[in-house]
Amino acid sequence: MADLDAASLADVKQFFKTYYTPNNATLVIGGDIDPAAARRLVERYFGDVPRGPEVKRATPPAFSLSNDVYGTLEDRVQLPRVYNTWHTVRAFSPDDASLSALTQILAGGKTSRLYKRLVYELQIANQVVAFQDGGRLDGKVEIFATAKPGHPLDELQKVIDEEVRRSPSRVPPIVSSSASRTAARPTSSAAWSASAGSAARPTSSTTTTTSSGRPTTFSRTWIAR
Amino acid sequence: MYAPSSLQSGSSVSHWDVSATPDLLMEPFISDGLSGDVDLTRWLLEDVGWASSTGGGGHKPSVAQLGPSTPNPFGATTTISFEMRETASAELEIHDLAGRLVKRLPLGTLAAGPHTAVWNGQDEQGRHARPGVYLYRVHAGDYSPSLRLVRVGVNPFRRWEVFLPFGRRISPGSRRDRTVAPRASGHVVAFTAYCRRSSIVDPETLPRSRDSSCEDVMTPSIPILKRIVARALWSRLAAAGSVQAAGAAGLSVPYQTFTLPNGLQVLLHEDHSVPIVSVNMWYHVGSGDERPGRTGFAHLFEHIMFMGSQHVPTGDFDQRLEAAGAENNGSTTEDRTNYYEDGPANALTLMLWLDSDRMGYLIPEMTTERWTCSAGWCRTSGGRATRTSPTVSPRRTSSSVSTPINIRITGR
Repeated sequence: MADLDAASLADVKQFFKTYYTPNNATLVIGGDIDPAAARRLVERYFGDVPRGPEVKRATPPAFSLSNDVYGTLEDRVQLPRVYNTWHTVRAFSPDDASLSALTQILAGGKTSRLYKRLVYELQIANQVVAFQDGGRLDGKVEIFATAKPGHPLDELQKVIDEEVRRSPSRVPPIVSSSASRTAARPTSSAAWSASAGSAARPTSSTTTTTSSGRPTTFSRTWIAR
Repeated sequence: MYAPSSLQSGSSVSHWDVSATPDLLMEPFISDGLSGDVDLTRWLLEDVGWASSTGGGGHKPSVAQLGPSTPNPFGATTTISFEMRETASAELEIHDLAGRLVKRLPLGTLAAGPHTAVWNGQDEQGRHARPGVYLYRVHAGDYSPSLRLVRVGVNPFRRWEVFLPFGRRISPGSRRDRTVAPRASGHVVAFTAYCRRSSIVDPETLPRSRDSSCEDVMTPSIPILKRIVARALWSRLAAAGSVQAAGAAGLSVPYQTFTLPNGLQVLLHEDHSVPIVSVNMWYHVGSGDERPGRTGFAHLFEHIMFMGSQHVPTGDFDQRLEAAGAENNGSTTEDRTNYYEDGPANALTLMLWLDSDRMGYLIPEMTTERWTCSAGWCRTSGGRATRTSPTVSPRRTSSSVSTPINIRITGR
């Protein structure tokens, strides 16, 4: 908020003129349309919007974590939560969909492994979420779980570690699509063990954030098999 | 701020909330230019029950009560019930949301009492009206109450595919016809047919020929039919299997794309399975484009883009879309900011107009006052903190725009 408070109206206008231009946008119209009529409407309404300056983007240097990073953030929240984050791959790379399938196995829905153990069987968590988030430059896999009142985060983290470690060799073959098959192929659990299992446990706190490094190990071991 | 109308009691029709932005009433609604701008002021007033009678002092309206249309939403025909207070000449008018007349049905002179009128979903030229929200009114004397109805279903035809033995498929022709193709083996036949989808069949418009319905076309003997059906099923299963084996290769979302001279990239995807259109504008900007010291701009703009542009006063963006039965929202990530509108197919013009105005005409409305507001707070001259932007959930009721609220905006 400090940055926004410090920004001037000119700053804001400049941001708009730089990025909110027709040449920096993609319009998608889908559904019950007549393409020819839709095109006429687009030309009619967007045709007179002036082109903006060409958007130039610098390519930032590649990023990698050399070791696991732990962070703890305390705030006045009702329930503690633990996050596990792995540096992974960018959007639409070959591993992107595979990692999404993997996180579905771990925490997608009520039959997922982590949900069944944490929420249904042990009843030590209210919620567990896992996803692969691929972006333009890079991506991450994140697993987070919210503890039930009275249950320290150590309890949750122990189960997450167990499931993460055991999942690679225990996933049954899935035949519905090639993406799922790739992710489900049995493999070594070295990557999970290295990045998530060997590190010291976070101490009890209101909110805990864990970032784990070794992105290439993670994706390579998991996917490029 | 809701202004119910006694005329509309018992109906499930929603109403525009005009009290929050009375200026809206004086704005001509948008038009795609086919028939010029139409001033809907009177309609709006009537719709919220403010103009209970436009006939002047003491005059009793001819139409006592306009009832709901059933079914609503409808596919083929809908029946509109109304009650006449006195004998008068009446007609039913159907308008789209841009105010254009879609269909006028003269009803003749009607006696006092309950009546019904039927709309078959067709316009003046006999074409099927696009799915979407329409306004209907019964016009009698100088009083014309109006209500809304929704038409669903767009394709009067559904494609039926018939398979030859051994899985060869006969492509359906471009018109309803029947093709008999004798084969050397002595097997009969395959034929193609378009069948009217029963859900929106309008008996009035069905041609009286044998080819016009599936039952009529399906004339081969039962054993042959069984064989054809079995073969068709087998072919489908085989096809499904090969799709699975091919994995992602089986997924296909065809689209066409073009780029405007100003650089706007456009993708069009046609899918008539439901009468819905989705407009999604992706700006290739996100928090990853922000400079140190000036962070937060990307998400900030996600909010500013809903706060009004030169031709869309603050609050109108959501209100107009909601009135058309559409919803909208936006989101921001490190890489992109997107804005979408989902709604009935006949709201496409409105969606594109709104989206283009905030792309091309936002700067003139970007004032210091608005900038201060969007950063989290607005303070009116009276010292009361007031939210002036529609930056809450798009499903919120319109009246919440005018509700004094004293919180920081943390997310749309």
